[in-house]
Amino acid sequence: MKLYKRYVEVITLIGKEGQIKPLYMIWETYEGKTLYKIDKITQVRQSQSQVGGCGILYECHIDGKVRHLFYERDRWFLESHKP
Amino acid sequence: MWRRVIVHSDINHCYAQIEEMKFPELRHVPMVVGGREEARHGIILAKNDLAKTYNIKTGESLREAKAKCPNLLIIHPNYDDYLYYTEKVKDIYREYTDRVESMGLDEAWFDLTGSQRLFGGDPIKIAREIQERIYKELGLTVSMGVSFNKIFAKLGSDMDKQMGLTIIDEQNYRDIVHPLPVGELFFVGRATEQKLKLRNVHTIGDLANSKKEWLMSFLGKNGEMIWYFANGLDVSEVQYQDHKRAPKSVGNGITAVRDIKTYNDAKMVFQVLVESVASRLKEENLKAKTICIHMRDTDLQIFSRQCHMEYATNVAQVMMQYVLRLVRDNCESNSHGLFYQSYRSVTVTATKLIDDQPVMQMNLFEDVTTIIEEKRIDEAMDAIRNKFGHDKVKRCVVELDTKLTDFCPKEDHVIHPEGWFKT
Repeated sequence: MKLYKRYVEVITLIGKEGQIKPLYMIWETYEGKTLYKIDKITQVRQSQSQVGGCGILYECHIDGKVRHLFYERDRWFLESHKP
Repeated sequence: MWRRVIVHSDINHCYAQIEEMKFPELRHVPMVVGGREEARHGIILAKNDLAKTYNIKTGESLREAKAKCPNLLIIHPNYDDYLYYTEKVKDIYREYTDRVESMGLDEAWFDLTGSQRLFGGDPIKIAREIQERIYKELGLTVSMGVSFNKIFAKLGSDMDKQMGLTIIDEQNYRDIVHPLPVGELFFVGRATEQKLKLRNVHTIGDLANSKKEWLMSFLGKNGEMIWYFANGLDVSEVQYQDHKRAPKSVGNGITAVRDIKTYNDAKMVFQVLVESVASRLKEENLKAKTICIHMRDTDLQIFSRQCHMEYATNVAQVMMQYVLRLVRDNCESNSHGLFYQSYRSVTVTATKLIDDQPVMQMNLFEDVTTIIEEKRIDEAMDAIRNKFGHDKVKRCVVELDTKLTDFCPKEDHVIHPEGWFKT
């Protein structure tokens, strides 16, 4: 299945030690913004992305599905199934 | 376990590969990274593999490349990204050793001698691991040469591109290195290669089997050095990662947006360049004794002239006087200040650097208060520029043609050339 690079807004929690944890992802469409809760983070590692670019990969469970969320330099993108 | 393990690694077609990593679609079209033609920086800095099949070469003009491949995609360089990602690659090397020596943005040597035991003992496995980590984590391919000295490591990394790993050890170096043409060896440039070929030295093996004294007779001390290189006797160390060598010269240059045709044009461009050089000297706490200008005319012929200054200085206006004298004396112009030759690019370099000590011997018969005042003006201008930006304060002279002087050499110039001798 073809994946797309979608830059998204993310609400994060920055811990006392400086660790970053994404809490919610905001999906933006013409109709408006939808807030998705990040239920679980299963992996955090530096990785390249198959949609281009690289960064810190957060393997997340969002809405019951596994999604790859990347922290690239100073912004977030999602390996999205929708363009 | 090896007695000495030096690895040289090279990010293949660096700028182009970083662009491909960011936008994977670029891998399917012939693409080059090149400067802006309208700013007259239109040469090719890097090309991808598809562009290479069209015989496009790094350094040629975009127009020539377009003629070879009409649907060539040209991307303008994003130096900020290149600095960031190449530094990330070096961060991975730094996880394995504290001896990491950069050679430009894309190349680096690192010494695994001390740390090979920590990571399993097999240097080839460690090198392969680093290579794979760079690919998995950053999406970049590097070619590596593993050897027992820096020279053969560099040769190795050039032999097999595309994530290659060439091993040149003390047993096989004669079989691998010696059949190579002599021009492949580090420090054998076009002129040296010609001299060697005239004397029937065609391969690195021929060079290694020659007599050192004979090489020195026509190549001088470099002859001795390349003989050591060819025989694998180079013992130079990989510098520590925080090693910073003292600069030998500080210079800035620019290819101007239009040709420099008059004395006033030259004055404006040099003013911006000299201010940058003076400011960088002050930051490094240095003074220069000699000032040098290089001018390239529209036929791409370069000439350079230099002069000694009476006092070592880092004051822009004092340096400017000497620069203008050099321009007046060496660029012939008519009475209206129009040069007989148009110049395309100019560079100013300050050399013979000494420490900027607060005490200096003054001349009894000369008024130095103006110099002190000028220095204070320089410092005030630098402070304003650091806080609010380069274009917030300017000397009047550069306002005569803002297009020509609209550049900031100090901030634009981020990638410095590197040499082999690091003393």
